[in-house]
Amino acid sequence: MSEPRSDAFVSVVVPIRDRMDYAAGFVREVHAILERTYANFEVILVDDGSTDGTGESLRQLLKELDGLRLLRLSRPFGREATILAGLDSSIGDYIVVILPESDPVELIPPMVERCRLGSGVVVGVEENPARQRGLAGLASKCFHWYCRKQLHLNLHPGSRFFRVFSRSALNAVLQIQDRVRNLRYLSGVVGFDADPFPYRPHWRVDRPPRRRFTRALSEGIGIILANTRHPLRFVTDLGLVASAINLGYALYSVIATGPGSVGDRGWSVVALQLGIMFFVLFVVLAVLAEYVGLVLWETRSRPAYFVAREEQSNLVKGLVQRRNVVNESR
Amino acid sequence: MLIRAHYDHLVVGGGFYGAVLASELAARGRRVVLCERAGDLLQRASLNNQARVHNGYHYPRSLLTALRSRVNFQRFSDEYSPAIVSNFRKLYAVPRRFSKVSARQFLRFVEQIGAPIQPASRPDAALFDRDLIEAVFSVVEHAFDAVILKRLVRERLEREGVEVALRTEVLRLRRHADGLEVHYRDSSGEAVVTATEVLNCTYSGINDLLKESGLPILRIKHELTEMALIEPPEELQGLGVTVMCGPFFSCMPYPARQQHSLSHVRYTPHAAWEDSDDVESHVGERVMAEPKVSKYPHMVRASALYLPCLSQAKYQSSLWEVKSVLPQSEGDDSRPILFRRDHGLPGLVCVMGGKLDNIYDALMEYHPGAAVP
Repeated sequence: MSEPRSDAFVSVVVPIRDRMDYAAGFVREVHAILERTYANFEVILVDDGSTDGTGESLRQLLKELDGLRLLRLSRPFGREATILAGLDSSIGDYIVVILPESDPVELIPPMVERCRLGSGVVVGVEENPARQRGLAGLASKCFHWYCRKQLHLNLHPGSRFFRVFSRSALNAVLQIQDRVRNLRYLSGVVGFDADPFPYRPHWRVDRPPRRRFTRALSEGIGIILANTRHPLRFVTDLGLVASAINLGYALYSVIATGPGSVGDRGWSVVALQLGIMFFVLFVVLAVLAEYVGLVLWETRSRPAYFVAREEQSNLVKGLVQRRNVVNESR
Repeated sequence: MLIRAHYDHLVVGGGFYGAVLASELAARGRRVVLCERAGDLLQRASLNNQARVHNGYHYPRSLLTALRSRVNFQRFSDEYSPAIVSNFRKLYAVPRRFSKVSARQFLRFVEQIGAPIQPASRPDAALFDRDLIEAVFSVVEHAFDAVILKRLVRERLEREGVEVALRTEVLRLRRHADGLEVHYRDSSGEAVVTATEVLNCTYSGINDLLKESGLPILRIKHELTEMALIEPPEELQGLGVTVMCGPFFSCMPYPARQQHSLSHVRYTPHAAWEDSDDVESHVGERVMAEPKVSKYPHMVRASALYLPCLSQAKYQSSLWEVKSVLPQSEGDDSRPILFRRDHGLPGLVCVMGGKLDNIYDALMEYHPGAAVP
């Protein structure tokens, strides 16, 4: 070892689901760089219910590399819950979340170093992310503007899961018991400085997956609902204003035309008025329904994931020598 | 050299089990010799363990073990009272996540086995992380001082007239007209003696003797284990803590050194192997002789998540030991003793205990129906 290894204890959380072709190679890379850099580390592999044999190839690694732990979830719970399971079980002073399909392992030491120097969270942000066009791009801009101005959340467009937490920042994140979790947003909400770390993803798949607009939209709505009551207040105001206007209009029509004299012209006006009223009503209902749904979800205190099995590295480095191996080498 | 040419019983291994069995046999008027490889008794697993006198709490997944443990607790505490240390408060805590039992299940289980339990006092409970720990209970459990225990065991051996041969290694056994022929080595070289019965009480070395004697081996799983000795932070003085049941830890007084021990389910075992016919013998000894890297940094961090004051503990040293279990008991944490008569040879008894306080089960197995003192 040319340089003395750092005494920081680093945990690396790797969420994996059906990555048979490169999972094992990726873990080897991570392990090699950690072993070179840190005296104490752990790699927590969280298998999100893989069905393609990834789990078995990871189990093989436990017999080969030291400092690995493998958590297998009982079924697929999704990426957020998978990462959460790894974070819950991590013990390090600095905790890295890294995705096997896209993140360069050689950035782990510089990101941990940045975290050590002060910021609670270092967030990997994609350099020159593919620009979203049209409606999606506009929606994205509006969303980030809203988060920044109204919610005081700096979400860094292009921010990815690749990040490093200090122990105190992670403990704060883990204390937020929300069921609707979004790691990229939670890292910001705990109030620790989120330090952007620009990097270029290293894709290990042929075609980088694109985030679908509907998915992004639903995540955005989730973040807003979990964080603020602005929409609720907005529809309350909207409902009040709309009903006041409606009442005014009704009074006007009674006074101006008198009872029993609704002419042909009135039908279209009545239809317009009803249409607007129903639109407003349904907007109010939609927002209420979202909040009711959220409340329902949160009150069912169901764990975000279940761990089916936990295993760890088990090496007897060359201590148990099998006789038959000796025989074969002759 | 051993004094006689023939013994009624030759006990191999001067750990707690070997020594107590030798005393029991001598008390029945037999001629007994106890052979120990090291220069003193109770030097290995009988010394290098948590020093916990179990009172059942530890086995929520094996009711039988828990109940036996309750019975043995009283007996062990009475018989070896000078070695028993009970001047500390003992807490059991149940985490919210990753635990195989919930607080309610644990409480119900303890009530079922009739062991004392109550909610921990407010200051004691406040030592734990509220988000991670569901409940903390105050229970009754003791520790023993292995050094005093050794003295008691030695005094009894003397009293019963057992011949104790230190620095005497039993190499192998052979069939003989008078029972068994025992080949051994001591400072004056190799020699042979005969015995009507040989008791193999060598714990993790049990298969080594069998293998050297050309006998079938037993299915046993071994683990190299590390227990850290620490100087506890002030809050933990006079306090023993166990967090269970799952990948958690115990931190409790270790009276033989006036320190606390810290062991973690995940980090205490370093390597595991199973004896088999094509693996050479004496693996345990070689593993023990290897240079070892402590996992204390892992243990203390993993434990301090639940018990934050532990991060102030001062590391002193580590106790390393080969721990052996029967593969069948791995799943439920029960630690049944292994007791086999006439294993491979008539007159060869193999005994392997999991916990010191289970000695009474071994004695009962040896003399069925006999009232053991």
